[in-house]
Amino acid sequence: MVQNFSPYTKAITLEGAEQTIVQGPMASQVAIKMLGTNGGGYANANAAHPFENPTPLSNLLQMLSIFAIGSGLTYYLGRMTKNQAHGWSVWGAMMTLFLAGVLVCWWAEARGNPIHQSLGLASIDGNMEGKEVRFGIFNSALFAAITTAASCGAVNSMHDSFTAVGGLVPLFNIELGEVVIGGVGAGLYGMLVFVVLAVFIAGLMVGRTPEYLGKKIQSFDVKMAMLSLLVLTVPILGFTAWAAVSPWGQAGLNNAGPHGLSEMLYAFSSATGNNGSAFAGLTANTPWYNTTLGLAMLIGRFLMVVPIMALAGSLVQKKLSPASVGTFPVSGGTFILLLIGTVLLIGALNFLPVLALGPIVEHFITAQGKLF
Amino acid sequence: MGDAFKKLDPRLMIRNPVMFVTQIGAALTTVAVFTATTDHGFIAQLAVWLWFTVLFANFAEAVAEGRGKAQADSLRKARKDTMARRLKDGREEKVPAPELQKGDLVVCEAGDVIPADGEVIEGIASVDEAAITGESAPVIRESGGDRSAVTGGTRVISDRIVIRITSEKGNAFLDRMISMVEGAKRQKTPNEIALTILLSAITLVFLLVTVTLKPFGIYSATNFSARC
Repeated sequence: MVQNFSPYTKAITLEGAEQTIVQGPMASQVAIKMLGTNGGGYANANAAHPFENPTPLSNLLQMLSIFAIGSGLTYYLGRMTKNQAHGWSVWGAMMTLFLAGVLVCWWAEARGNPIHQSLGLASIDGNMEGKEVRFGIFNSALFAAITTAASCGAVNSMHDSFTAVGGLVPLFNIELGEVVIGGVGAGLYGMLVFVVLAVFIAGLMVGRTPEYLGKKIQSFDVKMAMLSLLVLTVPILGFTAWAAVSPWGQAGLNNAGPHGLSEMLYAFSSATGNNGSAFAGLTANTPWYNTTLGLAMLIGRFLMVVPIMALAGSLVQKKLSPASVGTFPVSGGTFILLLIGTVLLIGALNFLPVLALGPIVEHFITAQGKLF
Repeated sequence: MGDAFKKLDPRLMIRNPVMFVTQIGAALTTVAVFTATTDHGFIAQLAVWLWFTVLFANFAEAVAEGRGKAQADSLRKARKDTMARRLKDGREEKVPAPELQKGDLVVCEAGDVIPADGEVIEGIASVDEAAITGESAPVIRESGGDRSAVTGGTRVISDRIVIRITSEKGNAFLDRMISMVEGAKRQKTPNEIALTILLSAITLVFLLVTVTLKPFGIYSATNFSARC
């Protein structure tokens, strides 16, 4: 990987055109951006640029670094709550959701574009549009799933060029609230909100007073948890709806029809979830888009932290009640399933309608061979 | 059943936010049946389902309340019909239970119903407190010590005790229980409040989701009618 302080060099390509080759302290930047799940790349093409992500080995290292701190935090959770199994269960739930996403994305990309295939233009691998040849289908799908699950936002392929379902997976990962591993800290506190809600629902279902780690969950805690979820949903749906019917919103679209809706939805989901990747077909560098996306980022980050801090404060002040026979276990298979169920229930149900109008309908219509 | 319809009053329904929203939806859908241009059948069916949901919820609540009221009535009747054996100047006289004053002495033997709350001052007996506690096994009540309090409405199973009445008329344990069972104005439990908050927040989110469907529909240039 490149690491120097030289200015950009100009080169003449084989066809005689002039090309500016970007270079600079890329390696250090990449290390920071991946470990910190920031995702802001040195080159515009981010991790698809050959200098920023030269080999499959560097790709592997970058993917591992994205997940490193987020996963480590679940271990830390177990350490701090003196219940290591709890940390592992949370990690297990995250991993299950992540693996499901990867498999779906990989399957969709490997299937390829049905229209290309009906025209006889498809490559053997699948949908190679927008993907780097050195990475191929699996590495690109995996990277896309990792980066959106972990709130990173670096990309090594163009998400806008994914198939409908292949683009649905990264979008859905963001809309779950960036809790599938998530960013450094943000993923864990998002997941803990879902843990509190899961324990609350489970406690009421079995008829016990819901308590998490010995602290009773009361109406204030539920209020704060739901508030943080509202903060996630409202900007995404609100701004996307506004953009969908207004001229400034439609001006930036690269594709007409459902994929355009997916582009706008992805932009606002990514901003609210503080992800940073994009369906880069959308021209988002207009004043309208800059303002609304900026507002979405502000709301999604800071307005989400406030209720969570309130929740943490209220839990801290509660008296610890000792574990009894009736305590709902926060580890083990039941808990993992419950947590996954809660995440999907709150995440999927919020966004299923708009996803149905975007990626899902696009999938079915392209399967029939229609174009936009 | 009539109660179920009576409970449709919005001022009552607003106490349960989720059902209230459903009721508004049912009302709006009913209006839409008349104002819509197509698909009357589908919208009418929707309206029927929504009203059915609201009515069924109210019906369930009314049934529970009705059962509570019936229990309260039977308890009250039992109290009125009980005759107490009051001891006055060494003589026994039969008086109806509601006429007993605080400080009266009452004797109860095996098979008697204790007429009012009181304290055992003489004797020892086994008392069946099923009416109050639901416990089927009789308990021992004796004078002196900490097991001397008896509640009105319980039945003496064996032996004989003399009781000094300690409750005011109308303020006994049974009276309070009757008023609690009768009154629908009980306080919500903390868990109930928390659950209502959770459900209300989810309802709010779904409302938002549904409302934003319209702009998406405009974008997709489709009309959201019954079928595609």
